[in-house]
Amino acid sequence: MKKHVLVTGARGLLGAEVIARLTEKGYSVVAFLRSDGPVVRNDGTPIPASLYDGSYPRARGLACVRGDVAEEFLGLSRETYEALRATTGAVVHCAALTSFGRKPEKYQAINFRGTERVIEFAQRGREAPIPLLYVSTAYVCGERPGVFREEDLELGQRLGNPYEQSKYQAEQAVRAAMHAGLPATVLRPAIIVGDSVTGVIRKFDTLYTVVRLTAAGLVRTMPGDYGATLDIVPIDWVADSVVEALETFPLTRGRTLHLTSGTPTTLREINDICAEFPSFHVPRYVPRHVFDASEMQPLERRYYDEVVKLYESYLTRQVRFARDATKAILPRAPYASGKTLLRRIFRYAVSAGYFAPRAA
Amino acid sequence: MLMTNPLLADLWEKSRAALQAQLEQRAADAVFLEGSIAEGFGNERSDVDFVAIVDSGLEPATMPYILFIDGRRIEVRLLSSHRLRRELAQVRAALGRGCRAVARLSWNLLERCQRFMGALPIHNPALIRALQAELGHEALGEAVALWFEDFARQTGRYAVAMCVLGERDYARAWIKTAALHAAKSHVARLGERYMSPKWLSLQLERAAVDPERVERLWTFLQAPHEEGAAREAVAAGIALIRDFGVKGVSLAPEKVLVDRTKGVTTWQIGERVHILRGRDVFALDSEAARTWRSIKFGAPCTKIVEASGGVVAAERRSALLADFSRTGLVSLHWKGGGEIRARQLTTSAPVARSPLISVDGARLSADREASVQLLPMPAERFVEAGLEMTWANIGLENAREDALGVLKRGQWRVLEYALQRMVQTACMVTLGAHGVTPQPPLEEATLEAIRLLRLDEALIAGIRELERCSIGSEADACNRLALADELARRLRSHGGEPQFPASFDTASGWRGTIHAAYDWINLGAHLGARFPQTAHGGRGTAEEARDLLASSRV
Repeated sequence: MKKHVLVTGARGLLGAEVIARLTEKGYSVVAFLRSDGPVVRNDGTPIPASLYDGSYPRARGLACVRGDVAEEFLGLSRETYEALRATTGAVVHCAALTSFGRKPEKYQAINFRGTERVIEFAQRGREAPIPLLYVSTAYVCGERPGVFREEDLELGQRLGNPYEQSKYQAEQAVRAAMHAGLPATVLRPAIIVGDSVTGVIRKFDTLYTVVRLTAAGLVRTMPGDYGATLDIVPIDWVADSVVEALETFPLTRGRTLHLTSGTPTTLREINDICAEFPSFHVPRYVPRHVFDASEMQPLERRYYDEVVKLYESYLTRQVRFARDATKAILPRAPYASGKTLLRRIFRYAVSAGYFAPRAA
Repeated sequence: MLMTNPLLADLWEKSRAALQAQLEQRAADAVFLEGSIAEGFGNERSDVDFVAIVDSGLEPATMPYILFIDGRRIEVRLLSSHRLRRELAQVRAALGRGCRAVARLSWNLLERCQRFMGALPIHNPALIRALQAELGHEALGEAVALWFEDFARQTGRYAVAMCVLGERDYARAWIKTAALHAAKSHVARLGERYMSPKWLSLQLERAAVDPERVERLWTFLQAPHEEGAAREAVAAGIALIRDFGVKGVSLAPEKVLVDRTKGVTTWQIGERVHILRGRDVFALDSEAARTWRSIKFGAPCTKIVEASGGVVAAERRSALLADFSRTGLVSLHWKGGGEIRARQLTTSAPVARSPLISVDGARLSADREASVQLLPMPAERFVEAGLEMTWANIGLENAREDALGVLKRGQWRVLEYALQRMVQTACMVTLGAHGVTPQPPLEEATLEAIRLLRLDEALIAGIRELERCSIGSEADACNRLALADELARRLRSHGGEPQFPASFDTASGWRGTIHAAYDWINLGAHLGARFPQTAHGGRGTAEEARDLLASSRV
């Protein structure tokens, strides 16, 4: 019987791009969605799809099934669950709660327990297990400075927030399943930003959220180090890499791969690019031990508390993600990185009105 | 043609004889006449331009020899056939790539090729014709026509841009340039390829261009600047250049876009907005700053000018945008047509002001109306002086704290040292405000302030008194502290700011000052600037200085 690829998190940025690439390559894909609505590519194009009816979708076809990784049997009826399991040839598990500022139990339910349920789905009792590509995050490194290698995980690091904590636990679960015989690959993308050429991004999150406030001068001072680094990668390259990892599964199986830039960007470099845009304010970074939020003006304090604080831990980190093992299997470097990529994504965010200059 | 061939041959012989020393070691393989006389223009006063092709294995200098023979000015250039071949090939290759590539050829290169192609052989015509055949007259004509066509298009678009931004005089000036070059493109297609603009009237005549159109051109070019509305002039100019075959220009305001200029960055220090253009620093007044902050790359000028909200009048926004573009802080683009490449040079006169630097960035010159003021020092000097001044200000406050502490304990020798340090760091504050960097070591701080700045006699006397002072009693100590305070206040005033922070009494005032210091660090980090070596009168490193800044809160 022919099998399809099951992609979770299909309505997310990465999931949709992975689906688009798989269907273009001729794979049959089942998109696993938590909410109704089309699977939309990063550039806003919807991907035509049918409803999953328990059978194998046609070649290049996409069928959608609605469920919830946070629920038992993935929120599916037992019948659909079994049918899906029988027709699935591989799982790409992208589903995750990536927005910051939610309650810790939400991250636990979706990112950790949800991954456990996907593992359970892939293990299939006594039948041959289904290959699993698990999309983790490079930031399971937590706040530990220095080089973080592909094989590293449990280094006693302090995790920066409930998101990282949940992804860390999920990775532990995947690794344990791998040891127990599940054919799986762990993919660790860094911070995913817009397209490498156009800068386009469908949903502004993480880095964008903070820059939006600093660029507008709403938050002008933050605790941070100029030498702290962020690793950003374009969505198109990450999606290509996920598909490539699936297509070379015999090579990637059992490994953890870093979908990272290899050359992290310093806050100082981010400032340099901010300065290229007339409307952008360049944030000041004050050593953390000196920073005192109580000195902020009320409005700035509010923005700081509600948004910046969630990301604050990233403004002092200095980590470099090793890519040596990854490069041997996925040799392609990101299509754009560092300042070039930042310039493109910021420009798009300005043109899309997300970073809006004030009228004179 | 005013000169006969024998006459030219005679002039060449005389020129060669005059240049015997230069030419005897490298015989000319061929000689030709180029320029206005060769092209059939010129008059009795026109220069006679000879070119000798010499191949000595080295590239001869481009500068001509200038001679005066038989009452005429004669220029003799030397060119290698290798260079001629290379440049002709460049033109041919550009033609193969299309209009854009031709437009990127430099005027000098294309004109050199054109002058050669229009040459009159004097010696060895066979070699000259063989070289000319490498490009061909038709191809040369096409290249010249395309080059002028592009230039007319670009200048026409720039005229539209100036019109959109309300710069009427600039619009009128540029639309005339566009019309003239459109006509040059037109006649080039009719065989009149000589590039110098001054013979256009004769070229139009020789090419038998429709007299009515020619008349329209001259009426347009000769119209006084102040006559009629700029918009009408630009519209008339656009119609004219279209008639001469140049497309791609229309009076469509939405087509003029604002975009980035490479190497331009924005840095705010305190409330002052500074723009870096390479190593130049521009300081903006508040209207210019607001307008600058409203710029969105890729947006039409009109959108930025007409955006709702804000306090700067639309007309002022327009004028400022024009100023930004002339100064090269932004580039103007034509929707779908790339950057408008009409003008290359950027214009600014540096301001004269002293002291120039405050904790809150550059001071604006009050005697200049310009909203965008170019500072008279390079960016590195500006930021390093600003950092040193800020550090010295903090060092001064620390020295004063030390002085107050030891005064209470009656430690007079330590107090003497602290008071001297106060005055030394106060001198550094005012030196920094005047752009002096690197700053002198502490030992020389007062000496250098006295030498470089115009301090008055009383101030100098006070500095010397404090440096020599010996404190023996509490009353003495209080008097000396009062003197040190007064000297510090006066030295700071000399630098433009009597006290630091600007508002020392309130927490927000202090916070603002500390933040301005971090703004200096931002700019310093961007430029890879040298951070102050002396943090608080000692000999610390940049990192220590930064820590000091961090811990100097009150």
